[in-house]
Amino acid sequence: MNPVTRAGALLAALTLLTVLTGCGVRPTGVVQAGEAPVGVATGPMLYFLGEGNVTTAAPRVTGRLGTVADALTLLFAGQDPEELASGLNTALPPVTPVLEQPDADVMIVRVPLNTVFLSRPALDQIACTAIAARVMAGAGAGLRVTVFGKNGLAAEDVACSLMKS
Amino acid sequence: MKPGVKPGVKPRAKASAKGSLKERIPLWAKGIRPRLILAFTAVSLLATIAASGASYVSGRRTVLTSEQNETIIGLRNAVDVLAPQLTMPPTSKDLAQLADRLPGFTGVTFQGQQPAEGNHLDVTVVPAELRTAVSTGLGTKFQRGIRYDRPVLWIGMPILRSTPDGKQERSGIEVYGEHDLGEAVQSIEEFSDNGWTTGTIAVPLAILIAWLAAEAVLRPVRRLRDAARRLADGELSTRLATPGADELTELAKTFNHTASSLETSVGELRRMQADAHRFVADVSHELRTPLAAMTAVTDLLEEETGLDSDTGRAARLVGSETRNLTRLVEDLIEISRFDSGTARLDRQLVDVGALIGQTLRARGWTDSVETDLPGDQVALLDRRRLDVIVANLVGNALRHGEPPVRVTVGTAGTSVVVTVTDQGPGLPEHVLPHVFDRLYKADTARSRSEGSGLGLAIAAENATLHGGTLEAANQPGGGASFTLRLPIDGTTA
Repeated sequence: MNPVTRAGALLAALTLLTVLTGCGVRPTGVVQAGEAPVGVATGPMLYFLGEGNVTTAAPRVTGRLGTVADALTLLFAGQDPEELASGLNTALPPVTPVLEQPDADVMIVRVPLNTVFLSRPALDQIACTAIAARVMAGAGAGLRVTVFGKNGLAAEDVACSLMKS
Repeated sequence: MKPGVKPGVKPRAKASAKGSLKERIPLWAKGIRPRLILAFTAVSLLATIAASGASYVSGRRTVLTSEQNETIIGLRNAVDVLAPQLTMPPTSKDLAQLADRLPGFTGVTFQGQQPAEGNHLDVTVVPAELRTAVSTGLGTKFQRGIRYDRPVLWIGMPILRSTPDGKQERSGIEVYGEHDLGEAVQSIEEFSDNGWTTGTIAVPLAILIAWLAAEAVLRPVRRLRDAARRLADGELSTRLATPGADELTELAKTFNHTASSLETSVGELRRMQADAHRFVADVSHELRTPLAAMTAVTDLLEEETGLDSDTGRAARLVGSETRNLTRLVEDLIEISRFDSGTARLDRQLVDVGALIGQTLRARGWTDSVETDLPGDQVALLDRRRLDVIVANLVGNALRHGEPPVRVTVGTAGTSVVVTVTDQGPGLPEHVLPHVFDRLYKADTARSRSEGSGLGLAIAAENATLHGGTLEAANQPGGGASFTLRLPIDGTTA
């Protein structure tokens, strides 16, 4: 067999091999396919004020994590007996806010009060609770919380003092 | 020694018995057309296989990847949405509910336990390899396998929980999904089907193109072959049309160039040859008149002078040489008639035996020549030319051979055969091919002989003019033998 015919035979064999091995769907081993879902919890994290009006985390056991809105609703409802007993306070008045989430990264909180009643600690409580609920659901910390009072904007892009933004 | 069995030379048969690929190709497949067609078919087949193979492989990857990604991302997103609503720690009912609400065929476990109720994926059919990887890792994973002869995609993912500052850990809940890839495989197979369809169209098309290409190549080659054949047959004015500018046109131009140089040189040669012939003819004719006068004068001188005187010997010498010269000139004139093509046959019915008898008698050779001349050999011949042939052959035998010189007449097929033999030493091997050449001296030492040196050449020309042959050979028992064959009925033998 001369070199030319040998090269031809090799080429044909390679082509055939490629075609034959390419047939069908072959089983694979275990393949990585991205991140796992995140978001189960016994309840959301609520933020109240501890001694010296320092924002303090207080896990609330509800059986499930729930949404950001769920967590904010619980926050506005105030401390449960256990939290009261441990001396936690709140700067938020007991009103029912209107919560809007136009998209996943934006939370608009409308409080039916004059903005003068929304103190810095109160805004911090709102921001920390909302961002914590979002982080625990697996999304990033980049939630923009905007708070409105009865008379207009109270604060935009409120940051949580306990978390690095 | 036979050729092929020389020592040190390998017999050819041994090499071809082993048979390289090239030698095993049958003869019909060695033409340009079959070779082109085979090559085109091979190339198109290879291209089809390669193209459909490549499109199949890439198509399979595309289809599989998109199918897998869609399934995995769909399941993961659904779990992501539902997870915050899942009660922790979940009850068996919670798990079953989650599995119900997830897309596709899924199963959910908590700390390795799966709910007993409900029509969900039995997690134990998922490969242990994947389950181990899911229950120890923090990411979504998949594995492809075969279940009930169908390709199946298994997906596994743990559900994680996160602290408010983003630290993630396993929650003990795992979600598994099983997805049938049968439909995907079917759409993949359509890729290869398309490839083969393309091939069935492409291969005949390639053969057609190869056929046309071969035709385009072969047409000028055929023209070239015909032209070369015409040239070989002597049509020196043959030329080829040279349209286009390809390699075959180049070849045709070269052919034309060769043909025209050949025509020029051959024309030149012919002209020179004709000039030479004319010169010989003219010279011979010019010599005839003075020679006739000289002959008359020498005849007179020989008669007048005494036999023994010096003058008499000189006169006889001059007379003899003049006669030789006259014979040479006559022979030259005869030869130049053949050369100029003016020699004509005057055929008549001749009794060959009787004619040969007359020839011998007229020259006074009856006593020195043995004959076997049957009286029934009649042929359509030129009397004078047959006389010239026989006289030259017998004269040559008497001069150069040893007696007895023998002349026989017979027939062979449609030819009359005249044989002249002698008992001399015969013709040397190196002389045989030249024995009919003009002025060829067999014996180089003997510069002068009684013959003109043209006799055998004239005899051969006469035989050819009759459409016959004249052959010289040596007899087995020694002595030269000249065989003349002439067609009996005047047609070419």
